[in-house]
Amino acid sequence: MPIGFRAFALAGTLFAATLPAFSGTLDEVRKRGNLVCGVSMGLLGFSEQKPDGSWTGFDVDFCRALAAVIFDDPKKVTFQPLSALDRFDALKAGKIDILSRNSTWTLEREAGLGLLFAGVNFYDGQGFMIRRDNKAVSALELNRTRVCVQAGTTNAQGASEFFSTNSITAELKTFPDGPSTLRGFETGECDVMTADNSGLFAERLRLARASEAVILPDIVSKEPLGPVVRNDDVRWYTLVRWVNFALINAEELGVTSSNVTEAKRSTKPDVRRFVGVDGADLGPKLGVTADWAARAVAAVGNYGEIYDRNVGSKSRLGIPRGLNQLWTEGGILYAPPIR
Amino acid sequence: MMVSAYPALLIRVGIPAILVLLLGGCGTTIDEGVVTPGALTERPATIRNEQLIGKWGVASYRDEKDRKRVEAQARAQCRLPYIIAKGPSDGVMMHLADDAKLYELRIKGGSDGKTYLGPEAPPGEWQDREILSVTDREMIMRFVDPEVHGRYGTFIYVRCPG
Amino acid sequence: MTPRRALFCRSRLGGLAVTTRRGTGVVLAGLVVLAFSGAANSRQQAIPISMEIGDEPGRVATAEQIVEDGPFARQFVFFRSSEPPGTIVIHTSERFLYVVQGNNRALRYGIGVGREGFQWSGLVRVSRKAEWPDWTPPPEMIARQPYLPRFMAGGPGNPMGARALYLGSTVYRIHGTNQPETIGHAVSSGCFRLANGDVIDLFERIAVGAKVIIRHGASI
Repeated sequence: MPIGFRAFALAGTLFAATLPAFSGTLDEVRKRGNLVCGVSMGLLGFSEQKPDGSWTGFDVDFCRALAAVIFDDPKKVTFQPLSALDRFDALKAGKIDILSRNSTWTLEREAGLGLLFAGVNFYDGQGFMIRRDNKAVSALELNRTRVCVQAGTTNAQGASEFFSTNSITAELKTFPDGPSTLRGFETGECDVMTADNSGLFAERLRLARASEAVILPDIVSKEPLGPVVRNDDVRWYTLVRWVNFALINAEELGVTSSNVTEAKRSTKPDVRRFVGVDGADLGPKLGVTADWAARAVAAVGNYGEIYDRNVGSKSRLGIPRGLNQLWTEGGILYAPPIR
Repeated sequence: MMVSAYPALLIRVGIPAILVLLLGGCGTTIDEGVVTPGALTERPATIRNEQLIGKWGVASYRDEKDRKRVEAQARAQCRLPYIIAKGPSDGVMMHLADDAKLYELRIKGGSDGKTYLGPEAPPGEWQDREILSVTDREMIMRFVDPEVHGRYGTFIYVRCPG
Repeated sequence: MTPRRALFCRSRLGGLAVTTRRGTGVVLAGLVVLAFSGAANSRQQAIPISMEIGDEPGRVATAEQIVEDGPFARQFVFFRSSEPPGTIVIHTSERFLYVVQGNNRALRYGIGVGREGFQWSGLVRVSRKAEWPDWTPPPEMIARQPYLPRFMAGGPGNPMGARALYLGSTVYRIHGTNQPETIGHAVSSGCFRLANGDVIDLFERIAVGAKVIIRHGASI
């Protein structure tokens, strides 16, 4: 990564350009007094800007958690909406400290673009939506159906691979954009619509009768989404990575936004370490305070609270936890222990 | 766009259920007033207050097939009896449906030949019970309001010993 | 001296719209208490069902009611489990009941659970199934609502709803409700309630002897 270029882009980092390796995102954020967080330009449940200018959403809450860890104040974030085209350049150019915008973790993006995914906080993947009167309960039952898919997406390729692998005869019908794909499904031109699962739940809300559509539990592709940082600051990367782990561990430990204060009096060693009552040296090793994880949970809740509020059972989207459930509860979320 | 509260639940209700609701008491609502089905006039009642006064085990049923077994259940409920006392004037102290306060209710003979129990109003008024039968050891009543009757079913009162 | 008719009607319709004054009250007061009823607790079969649901005990709900839309609607979901198909997994904090289907999926139902928190967790088995179970309101409820019958034979209008699955030798059970708008909330103190149409669906899928695993979120 061209350090000089970033320093040029961000005057505040000029001094860093003289160092052999840039390693001061955390210091820079502290000095600036807020975190600059790249989000999508408006995606139901993930990042939405309200009329008053404030932001909400799953991706937004991750940055608020990070700000709470650093400043003990989740409001110290500036959200920078970014298009799919601009997002990685903005990160590389140092215009943002972190990209929290549903971006799929791939080899190309890490090794090719010089970025690091700090983990996965949402396992998305290709799914299928059918009409309720179709009694299928599995994507394997989609033989002899017409399937609507948006042209030029990985979903078209994904669907045809899934069908051929499973000896399913299905007719793929492509549409130029999202709305026309949905219209194809709604008007009965297709029996099935396929897209990434989170997108299907959002699209379903646009149907005149959402309850007439059912989204199958199958996920047939890997779209792991997570926060992204530059690959030149391992200390920052490590902090972001552990904030994600902390939110997941909090749910597993039962630490919530409403009991996090009480948790400081817990007798359970894992809980005591989590809130920093024991193992008080762990936070400072990340460059933050002993109660860093408790700050994050106090600000936005644990992973389950964030999920439910924004995209899960307490939201309009109502996306089942599915893969994004804890490993102990039927999903695959698994965070290394804080110790 | 996101709401913090639980999203509203959409509940699908079969057409028969909607019909039941429409056919229920609301269809005949009169503001604050009294519904007088058949506009009954009052006749002397053949049932006396004394026959109602005392301790009762109370149970209810909807289906005639349950009656025998519910009768036995009513008898078993004497450990938590329903007590009917004499009222200050010429009635008995009992509850109306869905109301925890005691009222003085009066036995009213109806011109339809039935016996009603309820507040001061013409017989068969919507808050009334119809007394279906009374013996020394058991009485059976039901609410006149079809909606209330639908919810509570038919009451069996079995006189408790002592 | 008499309750106003108009109020009464609104409260009934509250069962469908959940927006009325008294309808809301019913939701909040919809405490379900299961308790041994003294005399008859010696045998499992003889344990009367006790339940408290608030101001409108016998409100008629029909067997057709299901949660039709939203997160608490019955749906197949991804669910990794090593339990055999037909096992019930209840997540009290999530307000979901899962029927394991195998192949990483489960059929998920929205449920109402204990307000106070159902303390027991672990494995039980379905010991009995009943259609339109009877109802015995607990004494505390009789004290508050003295106009209630002390026993109500099962049927439409009975607050136990259309079906009940009895859990082992406990006083707890999975049952229906005539207040489907309470699904997704904590308004009972022990029972797991499903909308009547959903509990009928569940009833048909589950055999006596099926495993029931009850889980809560971790506690600090």
